[in-house]
Amino acid sequence: MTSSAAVSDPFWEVEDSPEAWMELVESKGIGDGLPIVPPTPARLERWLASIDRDGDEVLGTVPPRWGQLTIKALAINAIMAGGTPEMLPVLIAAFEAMLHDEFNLFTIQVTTNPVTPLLLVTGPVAAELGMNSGPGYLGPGNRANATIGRAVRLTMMNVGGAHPGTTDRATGGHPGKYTLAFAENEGDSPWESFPRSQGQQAESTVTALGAVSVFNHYDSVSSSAEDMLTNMAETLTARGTNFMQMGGNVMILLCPEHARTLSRHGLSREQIQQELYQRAQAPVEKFPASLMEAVRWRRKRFPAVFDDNSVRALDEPAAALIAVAGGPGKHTVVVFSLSSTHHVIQPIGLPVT
Amino acid sequence: VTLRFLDPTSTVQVTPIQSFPVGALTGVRVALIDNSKENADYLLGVVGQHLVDRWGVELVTHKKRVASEPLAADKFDEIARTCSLVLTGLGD
Repeated sequence: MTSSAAVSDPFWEVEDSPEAWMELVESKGIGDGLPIVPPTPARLERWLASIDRDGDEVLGTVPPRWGQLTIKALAINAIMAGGTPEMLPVLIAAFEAMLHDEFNLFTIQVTTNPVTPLLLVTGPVAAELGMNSGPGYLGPGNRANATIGRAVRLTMMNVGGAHPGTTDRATGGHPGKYTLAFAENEGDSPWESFPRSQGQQAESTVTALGAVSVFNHYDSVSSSAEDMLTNMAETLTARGTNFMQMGGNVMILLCPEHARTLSRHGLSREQIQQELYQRAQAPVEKFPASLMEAVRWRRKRFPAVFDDNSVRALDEPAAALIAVAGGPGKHTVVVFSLSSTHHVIQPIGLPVT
Repeated sequence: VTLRFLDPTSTVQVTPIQSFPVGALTGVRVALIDNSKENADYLLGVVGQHLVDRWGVELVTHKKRVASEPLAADKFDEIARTCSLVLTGLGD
């Protein structure tokens, strides 16, 4: 089924020049500050013709404005982002994930925390779209990575109504709020894919995670798993993170070289989680009393966090979400999340016609 | 030359909710939801005490683990079952 861009769809008549498009975007408050591609009825027609779904189908409502997320609205924002129609199934799956209650999109949209959806694409769809899972996967330079994340952000702003300084109350925000999407490097991973390890069997998936900070963990020295895990555990215990103070999940995007070192020493993903759980502890005496009181309240669901007169970084071993991404080099990326948002893995199941 | 630039904001459907008549507060049970931010307990305490003094309401207090987390579903059910009014406080 195809759905045409009805002539009744609201639009603005604008002079056909990049300067005029940008003036319009700025005056209407519908952009992210970067240049856009104008979403014309003809472009929307091409997008909707690529998918066997009704353009008026409502996927849900996006907080805090509770705008109706139709496939059409998603496509319009994705056109503005510079995407291609082949991305539409990934974008639909991304919002299906983000609209799950446990993802807690409302909080992500309005909090003072600098939190944004991180989108990890796994499976053959990633290669079909030309997504980058290797060197420089966090950017810049890859159109699919850049525009998938940007399409999601523009939709969050335009349909969800979260604009910085208004209902998006982020104190500072962060660069990932422009775009944060990439593919899992399955080819260089010694283990099964991240979604498989979480019990998700679908061929292609998108994982949505509420990402607070994207932190580089540098280790060019360790040649043993022992040293590598000791160093990595230390990175997880920084006292000033939401993660350490409130718990929740952390995504560890192991670079292939770090993953190979750990695997070569016989460690499975589950053993790495267990090792990090045991090792990542900060002594209670390093916490000022007022902070310790707050941490005890916020993390009370997991009493073992406070074993050994210490504070564990991980609520439980499974709180470390381990995937492989990146190219050559000794840089693993640690993505701290919020305790009030939980990652969601969504199958990408829609055929591109 | 001009082009048609489609509006990316989509529509909002608003469902009106019924207002609560103030006169009916007498003797009802009121839930206070403390979002756990600094001073939320103080603010709710003052307002709650006023409701007790003015209307004779019965107070039930819930405190969230962290402000950004929704109240647990079973707590919502309990409040919906047992309370007529909810006040939530934003601290800081």
